[in-house]
Amino acid sequence: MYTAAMSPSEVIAMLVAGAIATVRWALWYHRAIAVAPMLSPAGARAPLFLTPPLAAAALFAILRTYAASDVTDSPVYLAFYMVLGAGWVAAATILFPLYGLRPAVDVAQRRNPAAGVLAAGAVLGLTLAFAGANIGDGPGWWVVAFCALLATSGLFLAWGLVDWGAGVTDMVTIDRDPTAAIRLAALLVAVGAIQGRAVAGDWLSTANALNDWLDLGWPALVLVIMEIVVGRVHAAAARRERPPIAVLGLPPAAIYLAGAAAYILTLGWWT
Amino acid sequence: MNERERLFEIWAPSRGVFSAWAKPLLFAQMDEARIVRPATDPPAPIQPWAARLDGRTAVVLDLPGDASVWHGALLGAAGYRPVPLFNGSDGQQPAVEVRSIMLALQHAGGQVERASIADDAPPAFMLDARRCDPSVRPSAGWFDNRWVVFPQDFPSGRLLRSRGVERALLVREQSRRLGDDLREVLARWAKDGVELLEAEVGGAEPVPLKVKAPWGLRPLAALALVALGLRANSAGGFGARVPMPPQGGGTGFA
Repeated sequence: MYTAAMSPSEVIAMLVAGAIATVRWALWYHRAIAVAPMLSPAGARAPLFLTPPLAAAALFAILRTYAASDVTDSPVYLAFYMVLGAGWVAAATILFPLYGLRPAVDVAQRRNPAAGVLAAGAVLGLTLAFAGANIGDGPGWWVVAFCALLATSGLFLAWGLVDWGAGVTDMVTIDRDPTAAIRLAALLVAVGAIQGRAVAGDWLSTANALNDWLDLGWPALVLVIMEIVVGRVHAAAARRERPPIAVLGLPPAAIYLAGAAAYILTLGWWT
Repeated sequence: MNERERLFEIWAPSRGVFSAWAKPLLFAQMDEARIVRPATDPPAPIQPWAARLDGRTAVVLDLPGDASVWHGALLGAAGYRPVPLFNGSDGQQPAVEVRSIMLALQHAGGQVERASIADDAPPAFMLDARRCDPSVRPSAGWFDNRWVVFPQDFPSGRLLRSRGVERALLVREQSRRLGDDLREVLARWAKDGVELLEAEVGGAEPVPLKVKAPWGLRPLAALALVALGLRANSAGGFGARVPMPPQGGGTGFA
């Protein structure tokens, strides 16, 4: 249970997360703003400007509604987990270039709007994965970090599998294909939500958390397989002409999001 | 639209199929008041290989400095869309001299404008072959504007083929080593089914080109190259001053 005053480990965690969040998000905005106006109009950089506050709003709404009761009612702990989340997601964005995505360069310098959509989906997916780890009662912030690590790993694993199976990120960052961007962004949000739900619930033990993550998180793999199939169809079609958003973009994206929402609703309240 | 934007629009018209890949960095650094647009065309070098091109071949001009621009303009007159990909910014005491490229972009701009190039013309990507010369080691106080290209700086082979481009011709000086960065791009194109050819600048007959991707773990290696060796410019592209080493303390003997 939490007490009104923060423990030393919580203070240290908040300072570390705050430092990471400050540096990484300051760099994110600096890279978005400092680029010469001729390289890209301000409107083209909108996803870089808007995604972090949107993600923060989503995290706040989930914390305020579903976190442990002594968090939802405590401004101090709400702030603590907001800072932890900001640092967590900021740190995770360091891995984006390994997937071929460099948001500031792709969006602000290369004028690739599709990359902006993907970056937004990836950040929102990470936020949902982290938010799920905050749901339920537990002994302290370290169980949130452990569960967030599981959910985040699941998200990056899913992204890696999709790229291995169909090279979808390259369609976005190299081909600048908005159809692929909408689909992959939706997939990352859907997988983030499923992974977050898989680690949600009251803390019992490490083994129990791992079991829950595997038992409840595996449906994300179904979406991954679907995206690999759709991505391959997309790649084959793109050899002739770019597939339209109305065919291979919005419908699969809607299916991923609706599928994740239906699955989470079916699971019901966490235990 | 100011003069810089007007000049960039000539090289990369918004309706051009491959204009999205053009880099405005050097245009953004041009002195607005000193931009020149001569009415006469500069003398174009005669390139025998250019006569053998068709509308289904993309060209990559990996030539040193302004030679890339002049050859791009030459190909513009032949119906190609020259695409400037120069991504190293200008500064004092630069590791890679770029002012000649900026001047050439101005001088050849009129020629490209008069060429009336079709919107869907095949691309001629212009690179500076000196962009990451391993023999150049910028020291403290230099402006390190060495740069590399990434696959994301080009359309994919799949996209090229969807636009009717079946072949890619690399034009370069044989004396220069083909950079690993461009090798990666070409290897990906070959994997996507684009036939690769190579021609010596001034040479006659293009010959088949075989390249292998240089890096097993491409993203890691390419990013390590950027993270460890090159300097990003916050305004875009590459280029930053190499910091002076810290001065020694004042505890020595007088």
